[in-house]
Amino acid sequence: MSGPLEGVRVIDLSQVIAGPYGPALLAQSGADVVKVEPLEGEMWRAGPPASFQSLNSGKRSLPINLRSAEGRAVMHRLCAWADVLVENFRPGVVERLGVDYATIAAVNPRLIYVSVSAFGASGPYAHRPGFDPLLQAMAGTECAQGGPHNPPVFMSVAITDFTTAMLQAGMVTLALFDRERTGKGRRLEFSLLRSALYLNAEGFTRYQGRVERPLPDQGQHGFGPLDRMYRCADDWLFLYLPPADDACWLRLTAASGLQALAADARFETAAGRVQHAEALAGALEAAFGSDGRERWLATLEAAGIPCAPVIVDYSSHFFSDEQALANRYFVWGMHPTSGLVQQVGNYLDFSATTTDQEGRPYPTLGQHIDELMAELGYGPGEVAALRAAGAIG
Amino acid sequence: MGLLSGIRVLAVLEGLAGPLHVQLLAEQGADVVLVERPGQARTPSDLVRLRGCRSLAVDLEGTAGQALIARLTAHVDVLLLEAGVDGSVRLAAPPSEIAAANPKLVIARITGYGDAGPLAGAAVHDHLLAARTGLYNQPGWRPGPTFLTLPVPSIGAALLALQAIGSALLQRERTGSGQVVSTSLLAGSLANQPGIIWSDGQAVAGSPLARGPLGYMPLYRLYECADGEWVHLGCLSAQFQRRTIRLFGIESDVAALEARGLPVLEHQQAMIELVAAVIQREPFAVWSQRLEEADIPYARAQHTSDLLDDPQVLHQGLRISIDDPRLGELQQMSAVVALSGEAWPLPAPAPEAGQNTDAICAEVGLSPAEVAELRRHRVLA
Repeated sequence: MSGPLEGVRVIDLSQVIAGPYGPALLAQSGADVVKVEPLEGEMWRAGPPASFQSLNSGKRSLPINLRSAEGRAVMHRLCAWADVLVENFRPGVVERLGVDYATIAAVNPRLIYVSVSAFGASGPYAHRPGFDPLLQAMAGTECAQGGPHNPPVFMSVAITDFTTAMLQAGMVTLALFDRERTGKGRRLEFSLLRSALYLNAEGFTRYQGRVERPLPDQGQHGFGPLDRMYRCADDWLFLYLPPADDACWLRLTAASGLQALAADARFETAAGRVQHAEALAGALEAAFGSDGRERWLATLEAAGIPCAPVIVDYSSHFFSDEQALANRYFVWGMHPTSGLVQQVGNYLDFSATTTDQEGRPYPTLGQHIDELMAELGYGPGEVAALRAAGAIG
Repeated sequence: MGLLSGIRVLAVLEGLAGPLHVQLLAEQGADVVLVERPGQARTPSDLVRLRGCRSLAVDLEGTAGQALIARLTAHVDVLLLEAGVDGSVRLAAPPSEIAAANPKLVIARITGYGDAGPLAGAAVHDHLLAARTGLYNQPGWRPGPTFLTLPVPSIGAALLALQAIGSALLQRERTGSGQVVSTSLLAGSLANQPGIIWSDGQAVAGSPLARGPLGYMPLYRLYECADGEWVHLGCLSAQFQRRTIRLFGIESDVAALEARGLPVLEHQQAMIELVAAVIQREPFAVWSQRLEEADIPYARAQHTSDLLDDPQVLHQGLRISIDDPRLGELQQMSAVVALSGEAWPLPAPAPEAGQNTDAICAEVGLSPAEVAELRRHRVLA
């Protein structure tokens, strides 16, 4: 794919989600990403197919046995070729495999070396394995999701992982920019713990008179009667009124079927609407429950009230969503065994470059060995010898 | 020093993504100037999101305020524009006009739904985007969709904008030219749902999951302990699963269950009941010790504030104290990313709206008399 990162070479030595998704995002902007895997393939190849495929799209696959001296030599030659390396091993593993920062920086001092861990490189939990839900639990995401009245809830969006990956991709571009100015490579350290704190930063504060972060109501509908979902006669909608926007409130209460709210003195002021939030929510529940969603959305939109349908099967009709398609939020490519693969992607628009819709789908294991080894300067005889020695896949 | 030291950013923010984004820019040493409304109030989250930034309070309703911002854009490297609830940005000049006056400028836009399609320019709010793009298809404690406490589309957009700005600055360093880069809350939502993937016209689906508020898989799920605390098991791999089954002493029960050959969902449910009964026998402290000794991934489900004194947080220096002029000692998170070998300087506390107006005006060449005149006309606070 073309894009602003065309010419940037990335080694993805990472596995599962928080590591691999970052390089996949860089690939969408045109970076050439090589996925270095164990000879048997990355462990997530055995995971949910949609997850592996989407988190590894746009990459080339080169299986290397880093436990062999010959494999490490190939890896070091690859590092000399690259601009960025991403790893997410548990602390200590990269040293054992000879791909730690000190070793690789000696090979290529301009390299941007990205380490992703669960809890950081040192400290009492550094040795622990860590995954997204454990950080959701530990950092308060699950308790916040449950709200003050319910047990915790395991959010099905792997938000800690995705945030770490997107942070990683963003920071890599900043580090490449910085390198362009200074000529310096460097190591960037990410952890799921840091990302979880970033996500929950408002709750991670201590000061005199501290204000609690907002949490959803017991029914987990939203943050208050004017910022929540409501069940219509047939389906759900979301209503959002900016806080203390009296003009918006007046438009809402002038809408057909909602005029009774205007006559209720309790709701006359913004403060009153907060004080009588439960009563207001009840009145709106009754009103919205009286008719179908389409009718309510039409009424609210005509009145200029921010609202939206609550869609629960979006993934099944993404490829017919006019809004997403009009903005080209998808990529596609031809896969050797899966055929035409289409997926979400291309989230950025650059006025100075174009990013193609056509890209590479996820790679099969070892799909690009020959072309990559040739680019690294290995002849066919050397490749065959390395294969025979079990150094590459 | 940071990756963005020397980079000047002017930020005209309206939503939830902007503050999430500028926290990262300021953390990397950028000089971020917030263009705010006179008297703009602060929220508790601003204490973290806006730290290290400076604030200019200006009325953008009239031409004088707009002219001042146009003057400022000639002095910065990045102009960040975020759409508000009504779908528009507060800057009157279109990006093309601004870019013509400063061809090296990177203009970063965060819109709601992108620039094309039937919803371009529609009402924008994080929760509306989340609703529309399937993010509320979450398990919860009642039937039907469930609200997400975290603003997921905004988080996604804030992070995508970081990649956009970094890429554009890199290109500028090579070509000498700025450009307009755009992302949206819609893109931010989609970026958090990468599993939407079709292959040869068919959705690529995972295995069936017994969805519920406590989790999907029996050993990758929340359980309540004897003392009412909740523990989350994180055993994805077969190795961890075997170790956990051994620790719980349920090898024969699991073998008997497997021998029954139940359909996937029924098997999952039976396993969950088995594990729940074991965990219910002991308090969290006991499980914590046993799981730790057996090297099994787990965590206590706790409130965010419980982490403030966590030994790992303290060891890693992830909690800092800054002196806030209004609140006194303020403890909050440290840097989101660590640059190896470099100390991260403590950030200045989040500014009050307009706190730096005079200094910023002076930097772009306005005399004290001109500033006083703008104040007299209530353009500046």
